Amino acid sequence: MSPLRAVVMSAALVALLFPTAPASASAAVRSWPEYFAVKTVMQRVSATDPRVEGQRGEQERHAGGIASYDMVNCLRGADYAGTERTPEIKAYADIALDVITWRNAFRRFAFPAVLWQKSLTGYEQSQVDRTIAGNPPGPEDAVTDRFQHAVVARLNAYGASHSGFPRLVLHGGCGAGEGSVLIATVPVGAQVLFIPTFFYQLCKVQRQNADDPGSCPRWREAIEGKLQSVAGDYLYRARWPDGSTRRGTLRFDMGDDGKTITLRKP
Amino acid sequence: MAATPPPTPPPPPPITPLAVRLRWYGALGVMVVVPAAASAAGLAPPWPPGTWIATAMIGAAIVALLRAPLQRLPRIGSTRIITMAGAVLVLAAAGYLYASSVYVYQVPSTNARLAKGFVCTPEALLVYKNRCPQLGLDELREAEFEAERLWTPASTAIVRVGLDALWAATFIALAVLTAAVVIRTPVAKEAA
Repeated sequence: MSPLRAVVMSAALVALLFPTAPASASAAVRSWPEYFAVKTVMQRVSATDPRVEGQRGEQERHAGGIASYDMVNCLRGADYAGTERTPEIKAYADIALDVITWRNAFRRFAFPAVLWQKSLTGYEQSQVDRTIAGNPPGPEDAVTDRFQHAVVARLNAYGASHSGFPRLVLHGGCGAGEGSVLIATVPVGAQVLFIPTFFYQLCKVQRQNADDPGSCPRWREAIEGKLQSVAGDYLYRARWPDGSTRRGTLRFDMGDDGKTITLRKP
Repeated sequence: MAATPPPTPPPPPPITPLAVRLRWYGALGVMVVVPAAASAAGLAPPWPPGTWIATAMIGAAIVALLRAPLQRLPRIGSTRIITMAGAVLVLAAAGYLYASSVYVYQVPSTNARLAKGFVCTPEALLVYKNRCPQLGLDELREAEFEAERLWTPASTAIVRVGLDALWAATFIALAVLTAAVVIRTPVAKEAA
């Protein structure tokens, strides 16, 4: 038996043991006009949704007088696509939101377009083409990884010889959780902030005021009552307009996805 | 003038007995089913995804590649190979299981298996001090199960690659052992 025949036979056995899902009826959405329609929506989302602004604050940091920009975007376009959408629409939304976010950031920092525009367009083209071909990028995508590393290297090389540009990094750290929870307050109208316990303790040992979101930067707000990508232990602070405050700890584990947590005024 | 005799037809190629062919198919099946079962049991390395499929293909190719050279080996040679492959299999599998139990964690909300590291980040050192680098699920929970907040990316990468190396050694040894055992097992003569 030749090795080639052995590989073919084992592949056939793998396919027999683990058949793939039948082709979905999503062929109709595999087109560039469909992508452009999704991109138009994501442009509106990017301009109006406070979560995008919040994520921008997460990506742009100033530490020790050095400005940095994390190219890893923890906000996913698919989160805006709803639960009933096809994988292609979700992939389009992810690609479009990333492309819009990066393009806006590079323009805001005034990096010369010649350094990034062509490769960003090429990245968008290749990711949409492969989605149309039925192979949408996954969460840990090698093409995205290569693109990000190439752009970071190129723009940092430029920034090293010119003043006034932030250092680009690829930190990520979006949390390994995939779940989201809904936060309700009684009475309504409280501002609710959360922080992972690790960052709260870090602020304390760094002698920052861990309870103040101004000094301890990892507090994040449950915008419109939704907290995304949560897993693990958190501290929360709910503040009502009359100044009453409730603080406590919460743990999000399997089964909490989509649950509503109600915080009552003390 | 005598007529030239018609050319003798070439002898038919030897037919491998059915029992031998079935045995080789069984060996290929072992190389597919064992990594698939290990993956289903949550024992596959955390990175890269789908490792077991590549393992099954390469394992099957190794079994097929070893068939001819092993058939030429004297009995003593195949005994040695079985002993060595068995020893490597036991050691590599034990090493892999030990490393997995120490360095792999599961995110409760997604059941994803991820690798820890062995060098704490400066931030984790500040928070957890003497507990570093032996941090467990409690500390991961506090850091949203994000390993790179607690351990340096280089150390988590080394752990991932180390786990892959032990996994690969286990299955290469299993492929060699399977092929050698198939060659060594005598075949009962088929009735004429």
